[in-house]
Amino acid sequence: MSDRKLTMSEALREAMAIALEERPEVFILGEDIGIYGGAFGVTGDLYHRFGKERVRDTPISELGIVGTAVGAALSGMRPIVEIQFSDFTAQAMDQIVNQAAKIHFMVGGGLHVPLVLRAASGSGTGAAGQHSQSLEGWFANVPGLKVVMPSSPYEAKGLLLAAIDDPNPVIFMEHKLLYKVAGTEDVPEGAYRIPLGVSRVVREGKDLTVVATGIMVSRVLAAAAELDKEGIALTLIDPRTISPLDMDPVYESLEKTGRLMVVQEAPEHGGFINEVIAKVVTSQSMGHLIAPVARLAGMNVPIPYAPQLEKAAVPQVDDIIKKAREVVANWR
Amino acid sequence: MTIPPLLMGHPLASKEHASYALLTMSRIRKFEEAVEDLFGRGMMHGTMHLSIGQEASPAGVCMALNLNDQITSTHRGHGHCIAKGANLMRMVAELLGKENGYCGGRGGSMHIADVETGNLGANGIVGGGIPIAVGAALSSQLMNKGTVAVSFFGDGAMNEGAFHEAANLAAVWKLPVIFICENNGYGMSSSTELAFKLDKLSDRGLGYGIPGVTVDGNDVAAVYEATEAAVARAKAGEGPTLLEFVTYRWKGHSRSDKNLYRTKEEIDEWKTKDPILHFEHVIKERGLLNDEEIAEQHRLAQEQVIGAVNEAMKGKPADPAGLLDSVFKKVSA
Amino acid sequence: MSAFDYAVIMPKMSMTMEEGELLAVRVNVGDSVKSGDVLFDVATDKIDMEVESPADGVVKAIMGQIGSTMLVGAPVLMLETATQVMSFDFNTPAPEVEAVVEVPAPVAVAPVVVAPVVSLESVKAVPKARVIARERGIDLASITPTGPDNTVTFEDISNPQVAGAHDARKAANRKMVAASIEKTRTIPQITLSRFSSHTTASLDQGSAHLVATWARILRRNTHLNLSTITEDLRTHVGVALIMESKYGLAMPVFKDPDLMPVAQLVEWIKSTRQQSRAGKVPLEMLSGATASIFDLSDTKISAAIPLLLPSHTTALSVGAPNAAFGQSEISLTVDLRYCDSLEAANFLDQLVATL
Repeated sequence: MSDRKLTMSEALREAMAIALEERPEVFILGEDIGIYGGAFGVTGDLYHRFGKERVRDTPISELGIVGTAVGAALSGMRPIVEIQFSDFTAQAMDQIVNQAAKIHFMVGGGLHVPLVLRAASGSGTGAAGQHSQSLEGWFANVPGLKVVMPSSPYEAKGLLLAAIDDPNPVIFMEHKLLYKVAGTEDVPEGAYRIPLGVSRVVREGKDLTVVATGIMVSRVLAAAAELDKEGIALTLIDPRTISPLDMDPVYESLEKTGRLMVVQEAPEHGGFINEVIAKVVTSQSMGHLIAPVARLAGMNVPIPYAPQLEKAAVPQVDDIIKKAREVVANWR
Repeated sequence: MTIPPLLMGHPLASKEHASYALLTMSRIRKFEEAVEDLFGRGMMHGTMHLSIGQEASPAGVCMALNLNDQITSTHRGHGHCIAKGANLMRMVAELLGKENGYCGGRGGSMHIADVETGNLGANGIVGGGIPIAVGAALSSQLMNKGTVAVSFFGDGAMNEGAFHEAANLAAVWKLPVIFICENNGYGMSSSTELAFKLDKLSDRGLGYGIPGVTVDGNDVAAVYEATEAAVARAKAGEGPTLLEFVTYRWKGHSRSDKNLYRTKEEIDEWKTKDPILHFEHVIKERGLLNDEEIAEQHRLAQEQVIGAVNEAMKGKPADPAGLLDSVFKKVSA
Repeated sequence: MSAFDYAVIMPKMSMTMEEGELLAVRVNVGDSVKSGDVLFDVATDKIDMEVESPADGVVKAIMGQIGSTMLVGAPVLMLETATQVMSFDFNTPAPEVEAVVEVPAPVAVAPVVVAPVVSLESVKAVPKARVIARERGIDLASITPTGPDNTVTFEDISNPQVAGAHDARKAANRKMVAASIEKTRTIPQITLSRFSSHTTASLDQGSAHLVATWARILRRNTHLNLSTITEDLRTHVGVALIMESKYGLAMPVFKDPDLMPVAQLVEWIKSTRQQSRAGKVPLEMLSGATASIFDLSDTKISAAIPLLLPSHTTALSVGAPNAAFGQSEISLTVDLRYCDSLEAANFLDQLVATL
C-alpha cells in the first residue's frame, strides 16, 4: 500500500480512529464534531463509526468542555477535546492553565491529566482577529503543558497518537491552512508514534539554520527550493513540540552553518520563537554565530481581514527567501 | 493514630453512626483549630481558610458516599478532605511544607488531593472544581462505574461561568453528579444579598432543568438525607441535583480578615447554631450517645489531631531539588 | 470539669507578619470570658486586629505589656479554660525557615574566566570572529572589516593572511632575536656582576631609574654611545628596555631618557609596556639604542647573563631581590672592543651607587 498522500485532516482522523479502537478510555468531545463532522471536517465520519457517546457533541461551552475533559482525564479517561478555533481557548483558560497544567504538580504527583486539546490555529482564511491567532506561545509559557505544532499530515498522525498516549495535558495546535493540503510524504496506514520533544531535521544545508514550526515548515521548504537555485543551502529544523523543546539539533547545525534564522506566524513580541534565540545566545552555541540572528515573525497586530492585509501580517515564502538571502550574502 | 474506616448511612441510624458523624465533625473542628494555632505561631506558610462552623456539610455528605465516589473541593476544603477519609498527618505535613505531605509541599492547603479516597482535590480557583466533577461523572457514565461525583463549592462560585457551563453539561448529559453549594453567606466579604437576586440559591437548578433543594447546612442529618436522595437519583441515571446547604463560617475568609462586613452579633447568633452542639443535643435526646460517649468522641478527635501534628512536625522539609521532575508525569516506555 | 491552661499568643495574621504591637488589653485578671470575646488589640504593619478568646474561660494572668512590640508566638495572656484548646508550642523556630529555600544554595565554584586578552575597544565582530580572535591572539582591530556596518565577519578573520599572521609573526620574531644574538656571539665581551639594593615601588619605577641612570653614564662616556656597526657616535642616548610583547619579546628604545623628569619616564615606560603587550610598539622606538636593559626584578629569576645585541656596546640585567638578604644581582656585559674590564667594573659601581 504505497502512495498514501493524505491531507492533514485525514491523517488526524486516522490517528483518532486508531486511538478510539485501541483504547476504550479514549473519547472525543467538542462543538459540532458529531454529525457535522467538525468545523474543519477533521472528525468526519468518526461519529458514525464510534457512536455519539465517544464522539460527543457538546453545547457551545468551552470552559465546560475542557473542565469536563479534565475531570474525565483525572478519572481514568483519555479525552480528546476539539476547540473549533484556538482563539476560543481563551474561554477555557482557567481549566487549561490553572487546572489541567498544574494538578499533577500541585497535588504532589498523585493525579495526572492525560488530555489532548486539539485546536485549529493560524491565519489565512480571512476570518480576521478572533479566528486566526497563533496562541501557542501562551501555552508554552505554562509549565505542565506540552505544546505540539504538526507541520504535515505524516507528522500530525504520529504526533497525535503520541499525544494521546502521553499522561500529561497536550495542546495540539493544527494550522487550518494545512487541513486540506495533501502531504508530500506517504502516511502509513497503521499506527506509528512520533515522540514528543524530539526535533526533526527536515533538510540539511551548509549556509543557514532555519527553525520553524507548523505551517512555516512548508513555507521554509518552498523558500529553500528557490534558494537552492542560487546556491544557498538551508538546514530546516522543525521542533514539532515547542514545549518541551529539543534544541540539540539546532546547536549541532549551528556548528556547521554559523547562521540562525527563526520563523513563526505568531506576533514577534513575546513569541515562542524568541526562546530559540535566547537558548542559542545563552549557550556555547553563541560562539558559532557568524551572523546576527535573523527573525521573521508575524507583525504585532491582530490578524486583519482583507487578503492583502492578512498576507502582509505574517511571513510568506518571499519574505523567507529575501531574509535568508540577506543573511547569507551579508555575513560570510 | 488510627483512622476510622469510612461509615455510610444515616447519622442517626445507630449509636455507631452517631459516633462516627460526631467524630468526623469534631476531627474537622480540632484540625481547623490546630491549623489556626500553627498559623498563629508562624509555623505555617501562606494562608488558610477555616471551615469552623461548617462541619455538618462534609460530614453528612460523605456518609452518603462510597469510598470510590469522587469529590472536588474548594479553598475551604480541609473538612471535605477529612470527611472523605484523608490521613490527618499527611494533611498537616502538607500545610507545614514537608516532603511527606499530601503534595510534597508543592500544593499546600488549597491543593490537597487524595486519590485513594476519591478526592480529586481542593481548588484555589473559585468554581474551578465544578466542571472537573462533571468530567468525573462523565467518566463514571462512560465506563459504567456506578459511582457519583460530588462538587463542593461556595455561594460565590455560583456566579462563576464555570458553574453555569458545568451544570448545563451535566444536565443535558444526565450525569451522576451532585452540585453542593455550601452557602455560608459570604463570598469573601460579598454577602449573598449583594451577589444574588434569589432567596434560595437552589432555585438556580430550574434554569438547568435539574432539581434544586435547600436544607439546613448545620444539621448533619438533613445534609445526609438530601445528599442520599441526590445520590440515589444520580445512580438511577436521572442526572444531577443542586443542593444548597445554608451554613456559616465563624472565622474570617482567611487569616487577614477583620470581619468588617458583618457584625459580632451576627457571628454570635450563628454560633448558637453550632452544628456540633446541635447534633449532640439531638443524639442525647434520642438516647444514641450519652455525655461521656460524646466527650469520648471529642477526646479521640483531639488525640488524633495532636498525634497528627506531632508526627508531621518530624517530617523532612520539602526539597527543592525534585521540583523540575514533578511537573510532568513520566511517559512510561 | 477539669481545667486547662492556655496561653493566648501574639498571632500571625498575615503572610508577612513577624511581630505585632499590643495596642490594648480588654480584659483583667480574674475576668470570665466567652469564646469569641475580644481579649486584646494588635497592630501590625498591615492591619489592626482584635484577638478573640478561643474558648470560654477565666483570665489567669496578663503577660503582655501594652504598647510593646511582641514577636509572633509570644504569650500575651494566660487563660484557664474548661475545654482543652488546640495548642502546639514546639519551642522551635518557625519550621518554614528550614522548609523554605533558606537552605544555602551550594556555592557554585565558578571556573575562573579569564577575560579575553583581545582588546575589544569598539570593534564590531560576529561572535565566532571573537572566539577565533581570542583563541589565536589576533587583535580584531588589526583586521579590515568587510561585513555590514564595518563588522568583522567570520570570513575576514578566517582569511589565511590573518589567521596565519599571528603565529608566523611570533616565530619570525623569535628567529630574528636568535639571529641577532648569533651575530654578537663572536664579539669579545665580558660580564661582571655585583649585588645591589634595588627596591622600588613598582617595576616601571625601577626600570625608569635603571634606564635613566645608564643613559646618564653613557652620555658621560661618549665612546660607548656609538653604533658598533657604523662606528658613528650617536647624537642621542638610546637605551632599549627588554619587555614582554604579544609576539614574544620587544626592545623598545627610550631616547634621551635622562633628560626628562622621572615621573614622565615612568609613565612612558608604563604605556610602552601596554603597547608592547598589544603588539603595537611605535615605529620610532624600534631603533637607535646603544645599550639594552633586561629588568627581571619583578620575577623570581635571580640573575641573567646579559647578551649584547648587534650594534650595542653594553647590556645590563637586574635580577629579583634575594629573599634572604634583599639585594639584587646586577650584571653588565660590555663589548671589549670599546671598553675594558676595569672600566666596566667602574661603570657598574657607578650604577650601583645611584641605586
